[in-house]
Amino acid sequence: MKLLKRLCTANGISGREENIKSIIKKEISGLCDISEDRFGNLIATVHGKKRDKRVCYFAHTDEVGFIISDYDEQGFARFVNVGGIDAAVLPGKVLCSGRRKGVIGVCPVHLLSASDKETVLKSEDLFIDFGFEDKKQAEKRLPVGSAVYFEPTFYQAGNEIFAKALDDRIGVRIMIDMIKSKPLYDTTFVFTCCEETGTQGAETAAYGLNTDIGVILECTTSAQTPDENGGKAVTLLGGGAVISYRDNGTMYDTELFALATFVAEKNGIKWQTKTLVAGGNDASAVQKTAYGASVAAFSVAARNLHSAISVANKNDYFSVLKLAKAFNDVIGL
Amino acid sequence: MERLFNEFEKLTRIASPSGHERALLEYIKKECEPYCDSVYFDKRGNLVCRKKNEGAKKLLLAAHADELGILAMYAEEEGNYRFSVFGGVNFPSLLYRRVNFTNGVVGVIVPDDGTSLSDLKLANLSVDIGAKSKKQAEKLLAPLTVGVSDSPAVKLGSRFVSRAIDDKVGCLILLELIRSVKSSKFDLYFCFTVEEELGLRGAKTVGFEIEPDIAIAIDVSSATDMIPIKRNGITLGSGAAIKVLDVGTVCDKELNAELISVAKKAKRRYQLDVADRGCTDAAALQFVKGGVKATVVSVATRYIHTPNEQADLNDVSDVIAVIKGYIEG
Repeated sequence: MKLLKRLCTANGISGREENIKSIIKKEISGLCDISEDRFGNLIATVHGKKRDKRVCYFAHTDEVGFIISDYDEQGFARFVNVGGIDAAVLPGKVLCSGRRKGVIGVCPVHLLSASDKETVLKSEDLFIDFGFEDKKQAEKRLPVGSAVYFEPTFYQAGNEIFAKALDDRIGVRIMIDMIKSKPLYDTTFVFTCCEETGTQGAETAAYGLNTDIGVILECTTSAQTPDENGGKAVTLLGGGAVISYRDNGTMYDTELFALATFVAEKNGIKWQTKTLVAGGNDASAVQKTAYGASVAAFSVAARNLHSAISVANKNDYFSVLKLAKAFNDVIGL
Repeated sequence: MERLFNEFEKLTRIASPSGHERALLEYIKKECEPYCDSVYFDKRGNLVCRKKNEGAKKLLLAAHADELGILAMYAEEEGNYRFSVFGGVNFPSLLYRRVNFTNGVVGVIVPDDGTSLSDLKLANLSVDIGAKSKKQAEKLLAPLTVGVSDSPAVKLGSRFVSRAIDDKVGCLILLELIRSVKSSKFDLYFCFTVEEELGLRGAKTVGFEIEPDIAIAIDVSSATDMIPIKRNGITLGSGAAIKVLDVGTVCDKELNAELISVAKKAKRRYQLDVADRGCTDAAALQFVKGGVKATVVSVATRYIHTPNEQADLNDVSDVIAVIKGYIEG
C-alpha cells in the first residue's frame, strides 16, 4: 500500500506524467528493459520464456485535473478541465499546483437566491482562489498553462482505500507488482500517457508494438449509492475483479473474456462484470490500431471516480492483481 | 432470383451481432475456401478471402458481417432482463419485438409500466423471457447472452423482407462474386468485417494490413420511396446504388465513373446515391496509411435498422453484375 500511496499522491495530469514515470522507473529499473517512445509512453519489457503471441499489459499514468487558462485583475484563476470532470464535484475543493494551494471559489450561500441554489454549476462559472494579490503576482508565481491537481490524499478505512487518482495509479501499481514478481513468459508492460484526454498515448504505443493480446488494467466506475446497488450501479465495491465484456469504447474479445472468467473461477478469484455499458479505456485504441489486437480489461471498481477522492476496495485490488498474474501465465502460448 | 434469395436466407439463419460474428464468418469461410487462394482471419477477427493476382492493383471489397442485436445485461428481481443494444436503433422500433437469444430462449422487449412513448430509453425497456424471478431468469438465460430479432427472411415477389439485410446482403454479394469471378485484373481481397455497426471498428485493421489501392464497400443505403414520398432519392428496383457521398465519405469520382461505364456496357440499371445519413466501412478504409480510392455500392433498402428491412433482388443482381464487370474488365 505504501507504493500505491506514493503513486496516488504524486501529481500527473495528461501530458505531464513525468513524476509518475520517474517513480515507476525507480521501482522497476534492473528488472526489465525500459524505453520511452516519442509520445512519452513508458515501455517495459520483461524477458521470460518465449510464447507464440505478443502479450502487452497497459495502464495509464495520467490523472484528471486542470490547467490554468487565465487570471482576472484580482488574481482569481480561470481554468479548463483535463479529462472528464463534473463541475458539481468541484466547489469548495482544495487544489494544488506545485507547492501552492488554492480553493475553488463559490458564491457564498448568503447571497444565493432560491433559484440560484437549484442551478447546475458549470466549470466556466467556477474559479480558483490561490490567494494572489493581483494578476501580475499570479502570473509570476503560477503562469497560465500551469497544471493544477486535486489535493493529494490517501487513507484507508476498513477494507476501503480513499485516494486521489486511483484511476489509474492502481493499474500502474499492479503492473509494477507483476514486473517485480518476474513473469514466466515474455511480457511487455506499457505505462501510457494521455488516456483521460482520449487514449492518444495508447494509440501511438500500440502502433509500434504489434500487440496480439492486449490486457488493460484499470480503475472503473461504480455508481453504487444509497439508492442503487442493482443493475444501474454498473459494478460494486467488494464484488471482485471487474472483467469487462463491453463498454462504451470496446466490445471485448469474447474468447479472452471466457478465458479470464475461467482463470478467475479456477483460482478462486472473486469477479464481476459491468451491468451497464459504461466507461471506456485504452482498449479501444489498442484494439483498432495498426494490425489490431484482441483485448481484455480487468478493473478495480471505484466510487467517486474523476473527483477529489475516489474509493476502492482493497480486496478487489488484490483480486485484479491475482487475476492479471494468473492470466498472464496461460495466454498467448 | 429464387437461388439468390435462398443463399441470402441461409446467411440469416446465423445470428451475428457486433462482436459475435464468428459463427457466420466460419460458415462463409467454408463456402469461400474452394474458390480462393487464401482465406484467413486477421487479428481483429475480420475474415479475408484472397484471389491472388500478384503485381496487379489491390482491390479490397468489404461487407460487414455484424448485424444489430441485443445483449442481456442484468436480471431484475421481477425476472425481466435489462439489455444493451448493438448498433443504432430507434427505441419505438424495439417495442414488443420478439427476440431469439443464441441459447434458444425467446423474449419480448417491453416498456416499464407507465412509460410514455416519447420517453423510451434503454433504462425503461426490458426483455420479458417468461421468468418469475431474478434467479429463474439467470438460470434460463446467462447474463451477456446475445439475441437478434425474430423476423426471418420472406420473399415477396422480387422483393424480400428480413432482419439484417444490413449487411448480410453485402455478404451475399461478396459470396456470389467469390463463386463466380473467373478472371480478374486486380489482386482481389474480399473482406467480411466485424463491428461496423459499433462505429467502423473492424475495417480499419484489415485495410492497414492489406494496403489496397482501391476499396469498395458493399452495403445497404436508405431508400426514400416509402409513403408519402417526400424527396427524390434512391428507390427499390432501380439498380445498383453508386454512392456520391455520405456522412463519412466523399466517394472517388474516377472510380464511380468507371463503375457507371461498366454498368452501361453491361446494360445494368444503376442509380446515384447522395446520402445525408449513415456511413460505411469505406469511411474507415479511405484513411488507411497514405489514403485509398474508395467508394460504396449499395442495395437500396427500406426500414434500415428495424426488424423488417426490405430490398429488391433485382438490385442485388445488378450490384453483383456491376462489380463483376469492373473486376473482370
